[in-house]
Amino acid sequence: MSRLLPIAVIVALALPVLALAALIGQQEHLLANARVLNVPVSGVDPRDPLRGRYIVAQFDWDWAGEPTAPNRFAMRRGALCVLAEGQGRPRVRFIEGWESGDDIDGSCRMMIKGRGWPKNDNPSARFVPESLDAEGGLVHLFVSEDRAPELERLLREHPGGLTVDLAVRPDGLVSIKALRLDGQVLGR
Amino acid sequence: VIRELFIRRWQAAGLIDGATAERIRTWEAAHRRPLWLWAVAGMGALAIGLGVMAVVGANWENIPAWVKLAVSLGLNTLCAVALYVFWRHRRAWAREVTALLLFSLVLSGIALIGQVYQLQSPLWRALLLWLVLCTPFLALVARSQLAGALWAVAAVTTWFAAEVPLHHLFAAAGIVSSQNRYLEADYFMRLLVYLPACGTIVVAMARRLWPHARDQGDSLLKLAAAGLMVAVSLSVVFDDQPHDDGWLRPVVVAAGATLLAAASQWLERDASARRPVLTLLGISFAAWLAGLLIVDIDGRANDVARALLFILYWAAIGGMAARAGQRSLFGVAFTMVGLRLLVVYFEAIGGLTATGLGLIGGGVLCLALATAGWRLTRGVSRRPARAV
Repeated sequence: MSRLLPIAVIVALALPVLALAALIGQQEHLLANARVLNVPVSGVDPRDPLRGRYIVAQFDWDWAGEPTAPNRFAMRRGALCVLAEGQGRPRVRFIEGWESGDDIDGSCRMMIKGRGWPKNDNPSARFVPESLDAEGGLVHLFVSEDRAPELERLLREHPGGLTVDLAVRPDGLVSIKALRLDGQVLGR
Repeated sequence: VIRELFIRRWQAAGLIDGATAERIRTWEAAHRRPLWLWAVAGMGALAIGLGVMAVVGANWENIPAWVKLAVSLGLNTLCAVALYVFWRHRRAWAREVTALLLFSLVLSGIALIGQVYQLQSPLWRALLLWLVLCTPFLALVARSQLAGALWAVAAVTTWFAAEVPLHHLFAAAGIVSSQNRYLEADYFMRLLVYLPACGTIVVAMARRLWPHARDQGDSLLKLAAAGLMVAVSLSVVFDDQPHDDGWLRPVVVAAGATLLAAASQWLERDASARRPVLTLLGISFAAWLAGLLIVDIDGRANDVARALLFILYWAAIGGMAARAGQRSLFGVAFTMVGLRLLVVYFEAIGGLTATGLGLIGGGVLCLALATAGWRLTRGVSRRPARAV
């Protein structure tokens, strides 16, 4: 047996363990260096083969300036300028074409980089942070199998009951810090 | 039990005497390979892995996230250390089972991190990360055919899970049209099923270079050959309207993959062992290409051309199997030709009375084919062959 082989095996076995630990560390680092914004969501509840039950949701913003486009399928890249936060939906304005490092309007308390869709014949305009877009402006919120049916019912009957704490970094990138049900943190 | 059954049968037929039978029993006892034990152990390791994944999926709220993450990391570490110990002490059975267990635990860990941190990445990314993290240790320590087969299944699953980004990639490279959705892109779907089979042949040949993993490489090669036959059969069977423009680039890509798989055969020193795989690759590419080119033929002529191509392809495989002394493959090829003929028979008739008569005729055809197949299979001489 070559002398290098045991070393190669140790490296190969350490790789998955260290990579998993690094993934956890990276996510904790992203959450630690961010401000928190609480946003209500609405959605339905299907199942993921790996991560279990989830809610397909969209963020519920209080629009001061919506994305505009010729049709409802046209997506616009840019950012949300968060004008006010606190109780209820954050008041926001969409700024098309905004990139990390661009100037920030003095009225903006924070910027969230992402993708917007116009209202047109939709019930409302949509915006999803770039790092959370599961597809088409929707986000997947992973929830407990036991709690999923209750949450789905709640989303239908009590809009605004389920909210998400977004950890927003200065460069406009976002992670999900926590889910809240009537203000109480779920599962962390 | 089966071994003893055969020994008694041969002894009763006068093929072996009592002393020879006893020598066979002694030899078999010394060289026994408890396949059922491997199968049960492999299933056990897989069941534990799937169980951990299901528990992760249940997403229990009562356990804090940090505890779940710590337990997952701890289990992965424990399993990795155990695997190293088993590998060092040459405990083959424990090593293979622990390798499969770690393989599934890493996937559970990735799923758990995605769940806890609400990561939105699509499934193919998680699977690709899983393969990147696990392939090195599997390549170095796992030598069983089961581990090889499971790795191949994982790799092919990842490939098909990534069909949307692969379509974007192929479209960006100008290989297929970017105008259509991927399910409408005929040439893309044909490439999607053909390329992984060629890729697995290359991987199998590379795996055979490692003396300890030669058996694993052989079984991977058999899997890849079976995958190639399925891919080509699907490409020939499915009749979609052409939505892509220009067949030349997809053909060049498929030809490149075929040539690469063919070139990998020169890693095998024995020329006679190379021939069946090279023949299979040749006839598979020809059938795949013909299936792609007849997309433009309209109406009944298209159905006839597809049926004929399918029968020709499997007849060619049957011929190749007969020359290589591969009775079982010959039997499969004969069955495929027979089934397609039966389908042609049913396609040609219509109405209830005609369908009834068709069923009777089809039954007679099946019996005739079975008789012919029995005679032909007995005529195929059995020769040891490496693969296909």
